[in-house]
Amino acid sequence: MRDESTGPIFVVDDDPNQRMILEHWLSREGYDVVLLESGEACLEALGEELPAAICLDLNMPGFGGMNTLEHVHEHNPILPVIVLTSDDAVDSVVKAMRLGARDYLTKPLDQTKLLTTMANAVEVGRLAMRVSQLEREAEGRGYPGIVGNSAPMKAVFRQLDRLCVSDVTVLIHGESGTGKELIANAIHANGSRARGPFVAVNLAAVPETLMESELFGHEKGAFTGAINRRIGRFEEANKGTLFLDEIGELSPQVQVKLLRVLQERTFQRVGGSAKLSSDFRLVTASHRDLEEEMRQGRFRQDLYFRFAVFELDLPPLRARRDDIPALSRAFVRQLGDGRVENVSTAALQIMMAYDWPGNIRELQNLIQRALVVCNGKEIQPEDFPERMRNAVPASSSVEAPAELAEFNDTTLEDYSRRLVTNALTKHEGNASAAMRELNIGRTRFYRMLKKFGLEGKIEELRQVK
Amino acid sequence: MSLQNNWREQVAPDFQELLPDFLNNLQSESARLARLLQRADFGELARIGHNFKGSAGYFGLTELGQLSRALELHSKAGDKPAVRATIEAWQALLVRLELAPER
Repeated sequence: MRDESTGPIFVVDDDPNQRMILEHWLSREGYDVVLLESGEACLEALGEELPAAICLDLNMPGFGGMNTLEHVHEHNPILPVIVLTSDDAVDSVVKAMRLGARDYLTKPLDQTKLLTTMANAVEVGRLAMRVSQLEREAEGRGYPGIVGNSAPMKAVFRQLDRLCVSDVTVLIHGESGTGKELIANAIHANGSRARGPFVAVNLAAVPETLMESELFGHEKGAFTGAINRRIGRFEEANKGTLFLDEIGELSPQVQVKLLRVLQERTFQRVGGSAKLSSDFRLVTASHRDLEEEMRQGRFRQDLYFRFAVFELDLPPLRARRDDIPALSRAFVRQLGDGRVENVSTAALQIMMAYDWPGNIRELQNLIQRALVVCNGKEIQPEDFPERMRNAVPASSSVEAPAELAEFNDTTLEDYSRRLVTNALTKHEGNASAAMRELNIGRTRFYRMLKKFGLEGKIEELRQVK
Repeated sequence: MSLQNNWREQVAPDFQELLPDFLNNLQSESARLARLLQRADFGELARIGHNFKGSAGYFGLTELGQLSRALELHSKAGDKPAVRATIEAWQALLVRLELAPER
């Protein structure tokens, strides 16, 4: 069965018939398919979604297949690309394979060959990702500067592994002090844009009147005090990563401006007329619950979806208590002068019981304070403030609410299977009517049929009719 | 060359579902051919030929595939008389397929 965690297949071809046929074959096999009509559309989509593989026509007008392949391979080196070409274009196949194409298929396509090649490509991509994860885990490596060996942090590292080999836009959620900028920096430093700049902007710290100038720059004389031309953060981030922190603090006016720039991909300096563009990867973060902000009408939904292509949740420190000893030792080494060497067991017990509302930043501040007052080689409980010493051990047991008990023996898969079967039976095997009833697309519908072994159901019901 | 009246039924079962969309694309692109020739836009004509060369075969339309190949080759060579003749044959095929617009 297909791994549900992998992304869709991008089909990039300027020929609508070819796109239609590829979608038909691939969706019946259970793949999610995204259809794109040009190389330009493919590159834009790569900033918005992480595919499992790309099916790319080489013969396209505009930016063309070959340039697209080169760009994809540069920013997503382990993403498998299968190129499609005419049977008389041997030279371009050779060039494409040199540029990093995983495989090639000649038109007219053969269904069996397409599906075999696609299955291989997706598997190779998945394995390449897994190998890099296992190598990192086997070497005990995390990401430089990020301390963590707990299960929640291992999950974060696995997501980082995927993000670092792509160019997708990322939205990081996490409470204050969980290390959002550190993670954004890791995405930059371990990706294809590492040689470019990492430009971080804390939007909460920029006065609204200066926001436009900060982000897009200004020309000399654009406003009182603009004595020189200034390059904005968007321009500064060219070829690198732009990290916008605290996007939940953006005013409605700035949200509109930002949305327009992200849609049009061009901007102007304040007081300038030239349309500028910048090639950057966008990573954003917020400590606020942006979905709640949207419900309250304080955050634009369209802007949220521009940011939230890939969402990464950073756990609060209380959810990764196993990391507290290692984090404490790291801070003692990093912040101390060598006089204090460690944290005592008694002090650690208190730290493990505390709930850390301020997360890692609070831990860091606590260690810094303790290092000042500590008289021995190890930090002791008395080096902590009074409120810490009185910390009550946090409860770890979580029980499901009683009203959900009836669902205990039923899986989501069971329910989905029943829904699909009911819809098909109700409409006597009419797939289109069943899709409408379930309010899902063709690709997803066929994928569910395959997953639940219901492929023969349509024919069976039609015969009964 | 004669074409069986029931050619639609000969299309493989797997492709029946796609036939209406394919024919829509064929009709809309065919409607542009004469104008493109008038403008001598051989690049676009070659692209249309190239695209249908690749997809006609899936629907069992061998003759359309051959004409598409000819359209691509003659357009790439900038051979206007040959392109014109190919487009005439193409339109005649649409009539036989009962896809030509009513005059």
